[in-house]
Amino acid sequence: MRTASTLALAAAALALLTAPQALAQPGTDNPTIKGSADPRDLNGVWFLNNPSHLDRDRTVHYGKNGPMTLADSRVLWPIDGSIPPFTDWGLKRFNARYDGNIANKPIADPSTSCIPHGVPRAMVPTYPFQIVQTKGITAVLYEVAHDVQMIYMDRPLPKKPKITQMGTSVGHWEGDELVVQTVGLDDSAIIDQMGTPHSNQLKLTERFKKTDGGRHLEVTMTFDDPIAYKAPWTARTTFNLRTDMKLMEYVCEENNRNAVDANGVTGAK
Amino acid sequence: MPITFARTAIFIAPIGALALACVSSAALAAPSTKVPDFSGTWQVTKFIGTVHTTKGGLPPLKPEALAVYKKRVADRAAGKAHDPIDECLPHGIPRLMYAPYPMVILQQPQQLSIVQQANHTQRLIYIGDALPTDADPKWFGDAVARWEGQTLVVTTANFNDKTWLDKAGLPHSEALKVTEKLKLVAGGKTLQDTVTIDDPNTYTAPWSTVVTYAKRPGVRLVEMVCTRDHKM
Repeated sequence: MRTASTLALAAAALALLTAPQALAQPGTDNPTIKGSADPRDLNGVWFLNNPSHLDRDRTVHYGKNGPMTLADSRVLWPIDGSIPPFTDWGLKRFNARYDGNIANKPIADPSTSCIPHGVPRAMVPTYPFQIVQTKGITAVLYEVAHDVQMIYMDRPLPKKPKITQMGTSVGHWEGDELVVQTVGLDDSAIIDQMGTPHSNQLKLTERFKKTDGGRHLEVTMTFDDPIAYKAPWTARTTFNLRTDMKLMEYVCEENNRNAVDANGVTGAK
Repeated sequence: MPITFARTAIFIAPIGALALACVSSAALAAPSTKVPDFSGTWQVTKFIGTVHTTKGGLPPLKPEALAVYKKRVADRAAGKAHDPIDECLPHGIPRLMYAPYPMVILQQPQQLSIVQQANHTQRLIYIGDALPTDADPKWFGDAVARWEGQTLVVTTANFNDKTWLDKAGLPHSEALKVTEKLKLVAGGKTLQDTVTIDDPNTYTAPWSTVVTYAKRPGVRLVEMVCTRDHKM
């Protein structure tokens, strides 16, 4: 009966392929977070996919604790695997952080003191985020440190943005891609878990696109920052739709033991 | 360039994911029933520092709780209050709902997300879900809601006992259950939240208070970061 069972399998496979684009929905009946086949519906809880666009991980030395390997999905570097085109300003900042790690004197970043991570950094710690789309506002609610990014869909970028940790974001659709531009990002923040720097002149463009029938969210980020980089460059990372997750309470402010000294050095590893 | 590359893929454990499995009950969506839309920017019409009941008096504190409350009031008067929010700790519920700053409500059929400007706080309310049982105590508890006609009834429980219910210092225990009835009044220009506090360890009977919000169209949230703004 080999032929018949093969046919049955083929029929079953065909049925799967031709079925409506229903997503697996374990763990929740909540349509707000179960995801949708609509390419312009980004609602859902998203969590880092690993690995992302590069096929290698980067080992960063963390002093006496030995090397720590950062998965690609936590490092936002150019898609082609090159080193970001640092200016002298940018390279100095990057190396200061790197040397601080080697010397076991890591330089604090805002999150050390429970200050919002900034974007896109808030996406790359190992915590999920939820996209909430409503008329006029697309909000990105990050579990980590209760960071919040409001993307205004109904207005242009401010000409003279106030410098804040999470910046000012506006969005519009180009086909099935949500294009989000963010300016006014405080230069105390870093771009990723490795310490890639930016200045407060950074103009960040993020393109959000659902792939694989809505199971994945691809975010392509272009960093245009003439103070830190000689030319704009582009990174990409991917997130999984997690219908089994709801955001949990994250209270950095409770019992934070990552003290920062007068030199900006922290005991946090 | 002081960077080394390793091919070994070490997956950094998604710590958040391990504890995240949170199964909701069947959604009770009623798409045919038109419900009001609370979306928009709102701000309390009057700052409430000392909460009184709808009857106008002090909530019915049990004797031990009254002693705690009186000490907090006296400490505040003496300039030595130990208010949790002065240490950048969360407001908790219902205190977040009286914070004197704008809040944005993002309404979806199965979720009401509130972003309060005070310390950039998010509160997520799952509409149609049942309260999780056997949950860990939290600063903001777990919040679920259901529609009763034009009123959204929000139930919040699973709290820790570290927050104050108001600036004056009304205490509560982990047994606290907060029921809020949210509805639009004044032709949609005002949002009203009738808050009922049920905590038999702290109060001799459930009691209620009312908070009202004015619509603030065009107001954009300003980034407030307690640990930065107060250099903690």
